[in-house]
Amino acid sequence: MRESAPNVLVIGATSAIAIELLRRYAKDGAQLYLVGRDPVRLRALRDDLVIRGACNVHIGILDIATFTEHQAVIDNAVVTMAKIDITIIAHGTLTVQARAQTDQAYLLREMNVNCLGVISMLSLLANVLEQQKSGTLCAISSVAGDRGRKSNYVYGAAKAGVTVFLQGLRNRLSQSGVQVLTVKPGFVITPMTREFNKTLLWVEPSVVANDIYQAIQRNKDVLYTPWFWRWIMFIIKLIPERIFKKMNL
Amino acid sequence: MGKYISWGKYSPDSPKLHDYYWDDELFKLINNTASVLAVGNRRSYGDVCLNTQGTTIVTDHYDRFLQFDPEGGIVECCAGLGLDELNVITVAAGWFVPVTPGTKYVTLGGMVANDVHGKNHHNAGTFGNHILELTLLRSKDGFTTCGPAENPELFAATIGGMGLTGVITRIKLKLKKVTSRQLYVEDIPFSSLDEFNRLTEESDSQWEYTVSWLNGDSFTSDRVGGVFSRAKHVDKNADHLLRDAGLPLHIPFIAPNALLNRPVMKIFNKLYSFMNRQARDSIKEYNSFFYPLDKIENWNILYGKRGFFQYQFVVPLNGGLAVIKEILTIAKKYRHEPYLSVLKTFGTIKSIGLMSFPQPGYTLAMDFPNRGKITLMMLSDFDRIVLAHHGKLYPAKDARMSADTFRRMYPQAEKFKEYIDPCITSDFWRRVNA
Repeated sequence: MRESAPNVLVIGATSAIAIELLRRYAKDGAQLYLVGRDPVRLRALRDDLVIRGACNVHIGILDIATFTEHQAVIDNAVVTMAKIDITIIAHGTLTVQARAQTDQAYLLREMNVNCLGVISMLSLLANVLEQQKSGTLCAISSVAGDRGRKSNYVYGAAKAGVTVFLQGLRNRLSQSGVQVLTVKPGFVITPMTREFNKTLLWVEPSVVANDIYQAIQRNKDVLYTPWFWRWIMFIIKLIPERIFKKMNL
Repeated sequence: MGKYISWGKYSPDSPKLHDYYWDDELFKLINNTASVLAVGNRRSYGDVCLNTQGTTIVTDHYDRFLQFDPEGGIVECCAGLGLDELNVITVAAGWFVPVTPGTKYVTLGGMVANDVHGKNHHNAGTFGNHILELTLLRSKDGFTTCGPAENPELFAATIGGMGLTGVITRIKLKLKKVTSRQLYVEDIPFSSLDEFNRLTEESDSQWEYTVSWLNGDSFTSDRVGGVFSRAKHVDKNADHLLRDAGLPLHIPFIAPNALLNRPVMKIFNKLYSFMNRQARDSIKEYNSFFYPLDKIENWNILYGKRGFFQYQFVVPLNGGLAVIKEILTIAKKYRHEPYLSVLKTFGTIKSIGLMSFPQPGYTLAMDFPNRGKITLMMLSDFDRIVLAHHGKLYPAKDARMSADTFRRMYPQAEKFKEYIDPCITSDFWRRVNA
């Protein structure tokens, strides 16, 4: 366990879950490095986090689709904070399935952001942590990546790619003492899901953030959040494909 | 699926809510909507926080700190910031909100919109008295700042303006220096309103906070008993003084759903007054002194699906106690005693807000379970008495006063209308202007 407050790097810092998680680390007096697209939002978030107790907050501007800049952003974070204890990849868009089926450019753009953008970052960050021989590498995947369904398989496929990539990294980095955490949230009330009708299964981003915070502390590998999704997905994965393909999901 | 849509109101339909995190998102929402209302945590009891015929914008994710000066005690934040979160940060730095309502689960924006008051009204006035600057998003003018010196009329209209003058986005506030997170509290039983008055007079100059609980079981003839509480912040940081055992009976709500009824409340009242039969003092952490009911997060559900009404009025000091007696007698006659009643004497500090509720006098807040017609009849009887004695009702608590009653209680509403943003309205405003 770490003695002092950690250095935390967050990609997609202005996403709803990231904001809650950052506030949690700010409370601990952590040093934070926020990466995102919008400088105005990032600065507003920085001011808030400093008041909430963060000891130092840095900003890096990045459009995740610009892969050529990934390395530079990570280098900057490493130079600025000297050591990275926790890194969280939280950016993402919720793909509109119907549009992705007819609009190929959109489909590829979505895969770029939700899959390749995450994988590229993970790969570069893994090297840093492997060399450091310590730290946590965490990415927000989704229960949607556990099984393809007609209602959201484009988003699901992107997340499945992330999930498998993380699995492999975990295997590789376990020798180096690096934690690799796959986060699989269920339904979260965020700007991404504004248009959905909410049932009891929906939770606030603060609930998910709290689960992630604890999973990082407890050195977990895979986190379903809230917890009941582990069992829902367990059952969904058990259904034979022959039957599953006919289901309305 | 039904749910509570405001603190006292249950509805089978949930309203359509929009939320936002950032200024640009709010800007888009305002520019694309004809009838909107921005709301905070919806802890208002009635319909000031509802806009069921239009769009409701929830501000609870617009909750960032903007600036905090721990030396000068000045804080600036977005309107959706919760008072609970503000307290955590400021108390750690030795500062406290100058005025707090009885729950910390409110937003700063809601505190402005209702110009809330607290147990220290007699020496601090209302929340609006401590605001240095406000920023609004108005549909015609965009982001607009106002304060005691800048746009003072808009400032006065916005404080207690029920969110109608524009979407409140930023609040700059002067905090109060405190030397400890604890308060020294004295609870003193009284058995008549005259005794209550004596305690008030004796305490108001020496004690920062005063408030009284009335024993609903004691409303017989002209005897009205209760417990007078007075408190001040502990002088120096003395956490070892902590003696607060956090007894569950500090909260006048311990009964499960099916049991929150007349007999149970009678027993509770007896028990509570028995526990307080002698004056006692204690040291309390600020949360258990200011927000005892927050220990039960959703105590409103104890009233069941029909919800409840809170009736809060203020009447001038002169003749005020007689009004209170009269109202309590009527409740007794209806066999419809309030489950909880809280009495406080307001001081003379003038509210800045054009539509603010507090004025010098007695304020009594009473919770009644909703028994339908009979409850409404009784409350209308109360209205007539309050009106006849130049009193008024608190919009934040109201769900049923008539347009005519409102006009007579708030004649300044005509002037207030000049400052209302034409894109903003609420169920309350529609009702009192019907």
